[in-house]
Amino acid sequence: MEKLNDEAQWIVLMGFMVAAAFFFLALVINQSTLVGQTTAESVLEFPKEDIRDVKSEVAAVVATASISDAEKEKLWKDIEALYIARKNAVVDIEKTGGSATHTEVKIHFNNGVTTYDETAYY
Amino acid sequence: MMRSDNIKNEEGVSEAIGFIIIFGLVMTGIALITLYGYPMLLQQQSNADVRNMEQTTVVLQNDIKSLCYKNVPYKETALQVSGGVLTVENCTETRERFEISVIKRDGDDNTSAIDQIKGLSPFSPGAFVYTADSQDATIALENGAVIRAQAGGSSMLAEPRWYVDVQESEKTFVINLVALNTSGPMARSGMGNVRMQLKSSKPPLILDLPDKETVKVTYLATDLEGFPKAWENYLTGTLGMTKSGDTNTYTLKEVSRLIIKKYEVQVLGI
Repeated sequence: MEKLNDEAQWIVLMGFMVAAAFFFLALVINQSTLVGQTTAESVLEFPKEDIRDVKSEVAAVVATASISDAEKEKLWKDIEALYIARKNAVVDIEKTGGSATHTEVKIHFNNGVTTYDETAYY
Repeated sequence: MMRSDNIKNEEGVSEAIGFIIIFGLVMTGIALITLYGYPMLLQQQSNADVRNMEQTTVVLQNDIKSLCYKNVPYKETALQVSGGVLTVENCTETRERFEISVIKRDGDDNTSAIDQIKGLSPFSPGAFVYTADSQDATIALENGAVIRAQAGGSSMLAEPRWYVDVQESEKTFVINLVALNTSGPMARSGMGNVRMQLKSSKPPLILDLPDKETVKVTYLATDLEGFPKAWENYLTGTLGMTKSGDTNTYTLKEVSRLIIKKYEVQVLGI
């Protein structure tokens, strides 16, 4: 009988290695089910425009000199009511101080996903 | 003279016995794969199906979120339901009920608040339910939450958007109720197209409770017809409510404002 030629055994070894690699790749793919979804969601769900809208409305009210403080309070209550009805967010606007030159307003925003607090000076 | 090593005596080798041995090895291999390998592959396949469906249900939940909270009027999603059946239960058909009530500081019911909640409570949510064919797994989209149930237990995969807003010791409890309405029974296996629209969203019910009262939420359902464990974990965990007694009743103390909003989602087809 001829001598056994075992020089090509590395091919079999490579086969095993590729199989093992596929196995681990499959494991990794299996784990990726919910991760992509939630990551994309958290980026999309940040309510940037909603917060900006509140700030710009508050700025508009503060800047109008002809509106009295009592009327401003009413307008802010209206904004708060609109936000809970349309945007499903709890908004709280409160004048906390100020002087002849500026007004200090505290803005609180919470839509269940994002909570945002700011003390704004107009 | 001794024979050298590379010349072998093969007189004792039987071709028949060799054949039987090799044949036996092959048959044992086939038998083992049929017995253990094939069921394992099937199991793997159905696990993948259920996992896929978990993802699909989260997509449906996002659609409902868009309809309810982002002023989107209509949503359509193509999906593949494999390894089971997806059904829609009309909100009048499900047995689960959410009951919301308010208790005064002295322990009595706040009847005027309860009268105002009356139109919203008891609330029956309706559900999307996926039931797997080859294993004990149910995935449901109920009241804005994605729930997986198995062997009498359940857990929440994606939470609904109820929240407690705390600001300067003022606690605001926001409860969003999502009801699914269908024109009739609907079920789907294979490729489908889920079409939903927001039927109505009335202005929210805002109850000011200046005395800081207790809000009580009851989830009326047994393990067989609902998902009490999932809701228990959500209400006591994420929202920090307290479970009172053995019944599925949860309370949140010191609430100064309760906001309940109900969304009616119409499922046009799946």
